[in-house]
Amino acid sequence: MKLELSRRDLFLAGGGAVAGIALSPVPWKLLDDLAIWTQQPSTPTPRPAGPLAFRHTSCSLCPASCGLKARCFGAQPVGFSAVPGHPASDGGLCPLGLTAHHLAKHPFRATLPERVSGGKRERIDRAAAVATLSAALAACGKNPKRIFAVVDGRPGRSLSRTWRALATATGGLYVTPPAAGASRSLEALGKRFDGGSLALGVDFSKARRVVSFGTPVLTDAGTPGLLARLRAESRRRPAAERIEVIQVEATRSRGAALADRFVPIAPGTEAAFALGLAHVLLDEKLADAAFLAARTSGLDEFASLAARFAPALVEQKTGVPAGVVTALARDLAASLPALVLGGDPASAPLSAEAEAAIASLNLLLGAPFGPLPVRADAPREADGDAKLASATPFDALPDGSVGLLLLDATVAEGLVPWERLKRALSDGALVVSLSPFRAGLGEKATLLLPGPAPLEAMLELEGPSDAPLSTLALAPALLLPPKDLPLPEEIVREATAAAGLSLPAPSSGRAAALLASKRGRIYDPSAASFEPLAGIASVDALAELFARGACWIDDAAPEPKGRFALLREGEAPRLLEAALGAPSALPARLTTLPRESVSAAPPSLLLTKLTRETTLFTPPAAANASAARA
Amino acid sequence: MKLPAPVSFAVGLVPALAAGWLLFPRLLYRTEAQPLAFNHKAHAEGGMACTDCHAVAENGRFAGLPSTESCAGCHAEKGESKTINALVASYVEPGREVPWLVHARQPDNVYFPHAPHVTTGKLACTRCHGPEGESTTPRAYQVNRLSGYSRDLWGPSMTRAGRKEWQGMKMSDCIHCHRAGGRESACLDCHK
Repeated sequence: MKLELSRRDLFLAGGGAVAGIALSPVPWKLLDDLAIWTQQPSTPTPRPAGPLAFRHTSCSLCPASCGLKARCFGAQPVGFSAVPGHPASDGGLCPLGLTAHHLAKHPFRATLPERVSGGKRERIDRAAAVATLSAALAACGKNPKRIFAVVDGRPGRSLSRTWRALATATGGLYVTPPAAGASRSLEALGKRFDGGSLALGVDFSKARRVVSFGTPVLTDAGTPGLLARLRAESRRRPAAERIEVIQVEATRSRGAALADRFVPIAPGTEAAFALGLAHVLLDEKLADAAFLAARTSGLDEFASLAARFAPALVEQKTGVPAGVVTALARDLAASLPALVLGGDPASAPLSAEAEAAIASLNLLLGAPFGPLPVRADAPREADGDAKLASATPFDALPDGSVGLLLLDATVAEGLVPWERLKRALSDGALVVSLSPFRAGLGEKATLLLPGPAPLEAMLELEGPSDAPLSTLALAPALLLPPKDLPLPEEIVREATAAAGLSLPAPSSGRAAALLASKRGRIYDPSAASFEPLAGIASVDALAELFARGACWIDDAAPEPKGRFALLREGEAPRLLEAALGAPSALPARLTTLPRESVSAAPPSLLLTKLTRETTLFTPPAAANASAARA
Repeated sequence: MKLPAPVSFAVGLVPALAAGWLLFPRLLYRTEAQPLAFNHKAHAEGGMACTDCHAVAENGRFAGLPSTESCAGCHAEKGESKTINALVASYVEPGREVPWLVHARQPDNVYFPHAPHVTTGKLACTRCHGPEGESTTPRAYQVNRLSGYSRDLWGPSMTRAGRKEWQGMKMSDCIHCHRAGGRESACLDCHK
């Protein structure tokens, strides 16, 4: 008997073999192992070289200046983690900071000067950049419609003195953007103090309730990573001790979505809502009577104003049910310490009347000196300050007046909207950006002078102006900048000299000014310990500590004597009109652009994924469920 | 004679299945010998705890494998057994560390801290490492030729079916345990 093998048999056997392989571990096991193989040193995947080491610095992506612990292979940081106990962030870190080391390789990174000419962007060399800038500088001041203006996103640094000197030399303006976060609310409250305007900060660690009328406390303002951490930690405690964030806003913003409670409110009715809360607090005698008696004035006048804002009327005005107003006021009184923050100057500014009502509400809750402590600015060198241009508020920049606009690398488009900047420019104005990125304002500039990316240069970082205490870090660089990167400050100096103007030598006296003040303590992250500044022997020793990633923190300021006015002179009628009338007019600088961050840098490409997957910004429902399971 | 179609199909299927299930694992893994025939059981019966050699500080920080110096604390001289003689001759006297092949070694992109698992999670060593303390000789170290890591990461069975809770250290195993304990985490907890 002869066996006949046909082509059909071969096909069938082949099919059987394929089916057999598919039914064996070969496909999935090979897939799994090949995925791990791609991470082996022998594969072409670039891998950091060198021994594992940990280094410390501070994040420069937003004013929060959070502490960073970098896990490095050799000189290359490969990952960041928060630094528990760090004076600026105390273990908090947002997803933006976690990806700071990606930004030097961002696709939008620029490493050579670029000029937009005839609508086309072209790379130019250092000499061409100097020539372009010096010609524009020389032309400034000759025509009042073509002045020079420099915008500084982080005033108060040593570099800021250079910008002020440049504005002085050219007869131009030194412009500062509005402070982000809760600064405007704190300023409104501080101005009510009769012993002179008080600088106040926000200490979330001392609050159990945080009511925000639009300040994005969980995403952008202050040190959002810190509040997120404090809130997450508090969920492990009994319910009565938890920190809750209540967002009162017209729109369901990202901050509102992350808050424990969201109270949707009709736009422009914040003053009426705040006065409604004040009404309940006073009517039911829930306000902090001891604080009101000892530290405030004008209670009777304010009480008669608040008496007009019964919850039923507030419901008509704001659309918030009267029961919600009453319940919220009672909850605040029962959960002291509580604090109330107003709008964000960048994305959701409130009227002056609404901020006044919010300031009074803070006084009823006794927030000053508790969760809203007094703070002082960090020491800085002051020699020759009188000769330097003083700061011009961004809103005061005259329309059509600027012939040369210099945007410091710290200027975030969220705080300085391009549409508003464009109005200030005269025809044919030169817009110079020192951003290291061809993105945001860097993309809009007609001359881009890119500087070091985040972590590529030592930076002087002050904490946010609404932090409870001033902090300062001279944050060391963790990355090497590209070879031959022309430093923008040097280009500006060369151009200034070429235009026949003079600038003082760069200032480097911040550490010395700090040491001379003998104030505060310095945190050494490698030892996780504080040392009194008075115990530091020399400027060199202080500089060495800073080079290791240290951070200075001020002493707590003493509680000043004096009283806060619940109502300032002539304020009651304005407040009444604003709260009872049509929704109040918002400041003209309102931007409709969405604002996610106060950072001048674009987010890492991985950030979207990280934000989606990380638990740093855990929505309350999921977090509560997790806590309940635990 | 013509072959029936099922038979032709089986002619291909059976060898492929055999190759996939029997030959492939043998090709995928190679066996390497540990440098010393360490007897965990003898040490455990002598009254030693895991942490006597594999130090875990009070805060949960794990010091890893014992150093030769700590072995030399008890085995400074030759004479008790072949293994001890080899230990003393090859490692204690020259002052070299023993190049143990670590079954639990994870890829570089994985960050596993012992502290939260031991201190907060109160997990026993055997929960993840199995009854290693009862072994009289070290298990064969089977290294994956492609990935370069131990077979323990996948587990002894190619199907992963019926494995014990300590068998397998894939990400899915970590997630399964975390999920069961209500400790679901983010990517960044383990991948820094």
